[in-house]
Amino acid sequence: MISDHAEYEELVPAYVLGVADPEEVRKLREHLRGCDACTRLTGRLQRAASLLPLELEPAEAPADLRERLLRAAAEEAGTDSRSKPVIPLPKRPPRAPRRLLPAVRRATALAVAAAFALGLGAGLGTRLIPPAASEARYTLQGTGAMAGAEGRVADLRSDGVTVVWFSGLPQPAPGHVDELWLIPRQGQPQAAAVFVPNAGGSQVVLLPRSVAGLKALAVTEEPGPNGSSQPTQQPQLIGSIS
Amino acid sequence: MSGEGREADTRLVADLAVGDVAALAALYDRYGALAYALAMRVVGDPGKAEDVVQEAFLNVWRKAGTFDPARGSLRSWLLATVRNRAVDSLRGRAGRERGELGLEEILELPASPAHDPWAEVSRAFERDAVREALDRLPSEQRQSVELAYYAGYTYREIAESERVPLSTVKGRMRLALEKLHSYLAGKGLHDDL
Repeated sequence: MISDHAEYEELVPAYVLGVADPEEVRKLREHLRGCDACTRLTGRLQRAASLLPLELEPAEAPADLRERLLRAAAEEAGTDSRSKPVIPLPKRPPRAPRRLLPAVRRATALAVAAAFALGLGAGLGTRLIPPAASEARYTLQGTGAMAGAEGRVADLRSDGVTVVWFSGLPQPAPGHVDELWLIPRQGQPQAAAVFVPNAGGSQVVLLPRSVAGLKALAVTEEPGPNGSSQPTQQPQLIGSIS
Repeated sequence: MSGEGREADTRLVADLAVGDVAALAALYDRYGALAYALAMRVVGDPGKAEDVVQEAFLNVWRKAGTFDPARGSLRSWLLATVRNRAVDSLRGRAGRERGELGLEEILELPASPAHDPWAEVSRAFERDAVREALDRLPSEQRQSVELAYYAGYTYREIAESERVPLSTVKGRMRLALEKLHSYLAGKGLHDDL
């Protein structure tokens, strides 16, 4: 039974080092709500404790740990509605992209697999899964305002799904979005999706179709939120499908 | 942490909070080696350390929406998670069974809102400073802290191990942490409340 302030003080080191028992923790937390001195003490000691692991020399983990971690997350994301590896914003209804949504759900697992095939992650250059015979891969390169950006495309032809992973994208101007275009061998560009890169300049877009037979894929910046029906500028990020 | 580092963490947490797998990869690339070193120090087994690291990163990824950068750094949160899971693994118990600090509790602790000292010095400086601080402790104080932090020993277990009264262990541990705080604050790794 903890009865006085001194006893609570004695508990603080064990608390910040994570070795107090649950009942002690519960009582100390209650005490902290009304005791400024113990709260300050806890803050000081907590900071000291949190610095302890910095004494350690970083150790290189096995190379496949990163891959396993990201695979586990991707698998979880594929069954989790909060997931964000696939966010194709529908173009204005009722055009084709709007009809993509059920397909998006059906194809989430495929998209995740494809995203990983592209090396989804901060390393960006690592191919975690070798391409299957039914896959085709392409790269989009940025120019102009999107210089340094890249789009990596995995066309899972046998499944009728294409995943495009963008990286290094600048943030669109206020009120604008990025728009992905399918450029056929003949005829006008077709709007495929609008999206906004995340804070890190990345985004993944899933298309419920193969891009086989097209001439190119391209991205432009267009007025938001729905983008444009035809590009209003020269492609800023483009790659041929061949 | 410097303003730039704090901003970077804030952006990273925002991406983690919406389930961005690429953000998890960035988090791993930033802190994975330190997390693995910590897990290895505690469990001493590569396979278990890998499991601990994977679980800890996934947990932070899942709970990133609860993170408030004004209350502490992303690194401290992550490393506390690694440590707790590693100790659980070492001692064969479920998380929280012994009232260890969890993510939420860590974040509830007071922290300096304006100045996180970590990122203002290099990793090497940080490492040297913490090692110096530990080296300056009397061996019995250092031993008490390390048994608790890296092995999950309670006051009573340390008292039995060291064959000293319980009150002695409590005093040693508090003195050690106060000295660490004071020394590291002087090195710019702390700021007083």
